[in-house]
Amino acid sequence: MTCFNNSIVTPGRHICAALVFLSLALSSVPALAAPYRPASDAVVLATAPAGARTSMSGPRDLQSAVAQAAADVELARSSGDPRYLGYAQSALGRWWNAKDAPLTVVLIRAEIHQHNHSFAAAIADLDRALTLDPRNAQVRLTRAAIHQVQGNYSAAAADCRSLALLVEPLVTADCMSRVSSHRGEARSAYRKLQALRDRAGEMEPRQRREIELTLADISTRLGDAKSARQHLERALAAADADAYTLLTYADFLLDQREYGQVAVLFDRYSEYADLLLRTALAAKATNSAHAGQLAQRLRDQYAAHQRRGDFAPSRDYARFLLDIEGKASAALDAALFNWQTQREPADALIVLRAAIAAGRPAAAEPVAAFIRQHGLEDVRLARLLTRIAQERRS
Amino acid sequence: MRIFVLTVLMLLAPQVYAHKPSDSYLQLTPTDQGFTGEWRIALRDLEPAIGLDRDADRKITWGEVRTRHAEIANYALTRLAITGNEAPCEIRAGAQLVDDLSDGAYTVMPLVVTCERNAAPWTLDYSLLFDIDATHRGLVTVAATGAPQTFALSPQNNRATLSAGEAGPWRQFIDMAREGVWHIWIGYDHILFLLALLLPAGLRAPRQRDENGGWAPMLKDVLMLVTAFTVAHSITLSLAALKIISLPPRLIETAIALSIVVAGMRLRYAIARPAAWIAFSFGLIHGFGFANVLADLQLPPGSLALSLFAFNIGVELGQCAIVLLALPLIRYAQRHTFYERAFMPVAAVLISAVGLAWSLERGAGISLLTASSQ
Repeated sequence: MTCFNNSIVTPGRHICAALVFLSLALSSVPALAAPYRPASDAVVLATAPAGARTSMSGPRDLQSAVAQAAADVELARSSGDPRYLGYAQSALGRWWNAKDAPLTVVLIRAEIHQHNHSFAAAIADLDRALTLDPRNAQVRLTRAAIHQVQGNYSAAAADCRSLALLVEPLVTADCMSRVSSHRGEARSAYRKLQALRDRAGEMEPRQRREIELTLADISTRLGDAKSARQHLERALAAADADAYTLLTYADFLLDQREYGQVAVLFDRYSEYADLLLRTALAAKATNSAHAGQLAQRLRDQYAAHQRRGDFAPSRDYARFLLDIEGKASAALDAALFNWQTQREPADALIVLRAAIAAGRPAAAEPVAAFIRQHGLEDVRLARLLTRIAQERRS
Repeated sequence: MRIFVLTVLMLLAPQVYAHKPSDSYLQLTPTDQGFTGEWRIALRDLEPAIGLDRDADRKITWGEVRTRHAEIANYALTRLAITGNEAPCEIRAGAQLVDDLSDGAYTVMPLVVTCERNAAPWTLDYSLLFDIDATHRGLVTVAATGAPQTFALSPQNNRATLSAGEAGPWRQFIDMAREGVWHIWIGYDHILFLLALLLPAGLRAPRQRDENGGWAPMLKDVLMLVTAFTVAHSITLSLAALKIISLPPRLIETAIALSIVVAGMRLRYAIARPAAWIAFSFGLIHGFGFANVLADLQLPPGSLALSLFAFNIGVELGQCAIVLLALPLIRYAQRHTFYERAFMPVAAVLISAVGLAWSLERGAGISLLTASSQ
């Protein structure tokens, strides 16, 4: 686009420049900033994650391929960086698509699918793994987790029960508590798991973290913030920081309106991208000077992700639309899209909030029906459901 | 213990990833020899590929990147191949800079692509990082007249076929017409000239005045004005675009500014005289101004006549829109005596003053109006 002959100074050039800029921003060309030359050699441009891999090409034999892929999946989980899922997939090489892949490959593959939210593919791989090894505890646990996230509590409970003879009681109890606490037995599930935890001796740090996270989750749903805080702090202290624990903690702090603490958390763990949304929400709530800048970063990230062509609206994206962009109707659409595959209380929460904000309380009916059907206990959901019922009557 | 550790890990619920997976951004612009472009590759992606963090302190510094530029270029360029009409193109990388995108720092590699045969179809084969990251995508954008072509290249779909001629004649027509509309809308000088001519439309010297005139005299005036202006600038636009006549841009821009002065003066002193001759004679000059814009648009070769026509249609449409917007207002204002007594003289002075300022600016190359400073 050309405004005027270049050699002539012309009024309107600024407006022209502004319009050019606007049209660039709106077109499909990525909004790329201006390249620069850093001031000195000492300028730090990026942080390499701990345990970063440097292998040039994928391993060739099965055993090292599986070991590499397993390490990558673990890094994806702890860092929250999905690049590692791509590395893991590449490390599996030709076994990624092999129908008759051995058990070890099928397991890793299922985990990669699970992290990519390809739940149907993950379940298919896990079903196959069980035919190869019916007594495999990992398979049962992974499948239980997926069933639970999808709200298939009976299937999840069946997988948890079948663990009883395969692993130690604490693992089975953790699995069972998670499921039963979603089915109207939150208080007894909490008591049982807490009692087992107190009786257990030394625990592997990551397992301790797991159990504290389960207890924190149940406490949050029961509205016991004090107990939730204790469990979350113990989970954080139990092992090295990981993305999931950090963002669970950040969400808790947001719920408690401890916005300053969220900012502190972000400063300390700025490499965890999941925290950006929480920090932006905290900044917005406190009218911080950074709020606009943080929101823009999020906007840019989502825009960049959408250009890849494989973007699926998540509950975080719905929260971004609702609480940062103020687009309630778009947020509701995103939240309902997410609800088709993910049915955790947090997924229900964003649907209800967006439905109220958009003035479309009837759109939340599938979620309300799900909560009634399973007797899902959650004080936050209960409050919103009351409001929705009122709005639908009026 | 081993199974136990794995067991613990796998209890975790599937989590949400705020990060997006890895992408590189390759932007190309067609040139006479091939393409120029910029390739942005995340430093975070180069780390596992070639190992930037030499001192293993987990901090990738500019020094660590700068000293490896040749290696980075070599790594990247061996994973990108471009051909033009089935003959290979040579890709050279320039001095790399850094860009901070929303998900971290990227190296920015300027590219110059020289094709043996710079003709359609061009193909682009991309394999950067596909060997180590199955979810990596190469996001390629090729600038073109009209909408840019974009590709998201993946291990399964790693070739982009570019056809510069892809934009069909209809598409080209629309694009050029849009440019025409756009140009008249942002061309304050054209709008001001047109308005200066329109303001007295329908008014007559007192002895000729027809008291119950209604719309007719006004519409007649406007039709004549617009037709004269259009015919005139179409003539010179064509002559200039076909390179039959060529005048220095500075002269034209100054003359356009002077045309505004004249139109303004006429409001004050010579309303009774028909404006059609002003519209026609200065329309010739404005036509050269449009041609300068057209020359900047890098028209696709072989479709000059079509583009010219389309651009002109766009200009006319833009002009009509302005007339349609302005006429009812003018018509309404003309009912009141203040219009002729007060508004017109003031408008005359203002318009002439702006025209004069632009004339001086453009003629002498100085800056008078702050809004026009660069």
